[in-house]
Amino acid sequence: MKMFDADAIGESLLRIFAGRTSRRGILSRLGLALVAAPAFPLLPVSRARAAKPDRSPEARTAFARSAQTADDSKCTYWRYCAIDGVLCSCCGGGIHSCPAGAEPSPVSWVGTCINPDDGKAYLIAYRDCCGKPACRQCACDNGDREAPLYVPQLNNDVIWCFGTRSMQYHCSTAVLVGAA
Amino acid sequence: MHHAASAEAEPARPLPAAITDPDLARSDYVENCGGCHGVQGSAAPAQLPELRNRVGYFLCTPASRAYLIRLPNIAHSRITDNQRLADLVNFMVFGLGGPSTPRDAHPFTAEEVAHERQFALLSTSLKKERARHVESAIRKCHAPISLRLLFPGKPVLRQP
Repeated sequence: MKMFDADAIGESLLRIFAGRTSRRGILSRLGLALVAAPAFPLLPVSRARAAKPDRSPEARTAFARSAQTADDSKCTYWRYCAIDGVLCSCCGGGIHSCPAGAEPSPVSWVGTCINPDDGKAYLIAYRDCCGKPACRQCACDNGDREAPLYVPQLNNDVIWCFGTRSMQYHCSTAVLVGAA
Repeated sequence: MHHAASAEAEPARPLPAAITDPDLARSDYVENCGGCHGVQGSAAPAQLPELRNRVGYFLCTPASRAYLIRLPNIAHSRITDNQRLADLVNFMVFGLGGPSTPRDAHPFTAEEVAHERQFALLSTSLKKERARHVESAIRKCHAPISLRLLFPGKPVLRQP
């Protein structure tokens, strides 16, 4: 006699199983499980993962498709994807700095722009320079991520000279604040 | 992750493990809140509530905790995924709140955010609502009376 007969063990297990269950019983339990499943989080791992922003080439805006990285005195420069105003780099300042005599606002409009050189998204703060009459060079109006004026908190037409000595708008900078 | 501005919104203490994606939480904060409230949670002297070392006082009571999520720009954020919004708020509270955030405070969950954002504060005075929660934080959680102001630095006016 064999010490270990897998065939016989399997057969006796199946016979015990068959004798104690009915086909209808299994069907009803299976049905119950199907109905009840949505009530329980079956995949806690995927549920705990937050949705990510779509950075695929298909999701890019018209601006991002034609942006350039060479000339920061043109509206098509990649960092200007959500600027609405005149470029400080045309007004005696720079992309990071206010022209002499203008004061940077402590608040800004933040945009997410794609750098065409590496294809990555970056956070850009459009910081208005205030307290001098408006500079009239290089006016740009790019609206990535912008909503209409009836959603004012998502609209970049607003002048962001808050917390400055004067609310007079002069020009806008585009400061890189990090990766998005 | 290393990038040029990682030092700008550096959390004062380790972020809770409940934040599923800390890099995304930080960049969502900067993109959706940091323009006005400041990349580091401060935009003084602009007339905005300072978050740095202060926002954690609003975890004082269940009502003020709910208030944070019910604020219209949070409740109606274009971040529709509740876990992603919970991550953003947890970055704000635990990353910028500093000592104002109670040691034993538990992070916001996607479920809590999903529930509270249904009750967005749309027909109430946000100033009065804030004042109410500030008073309870002063009374119950040792918040400084300067919390009555939008940012510290000016002398506190005596309450009439």
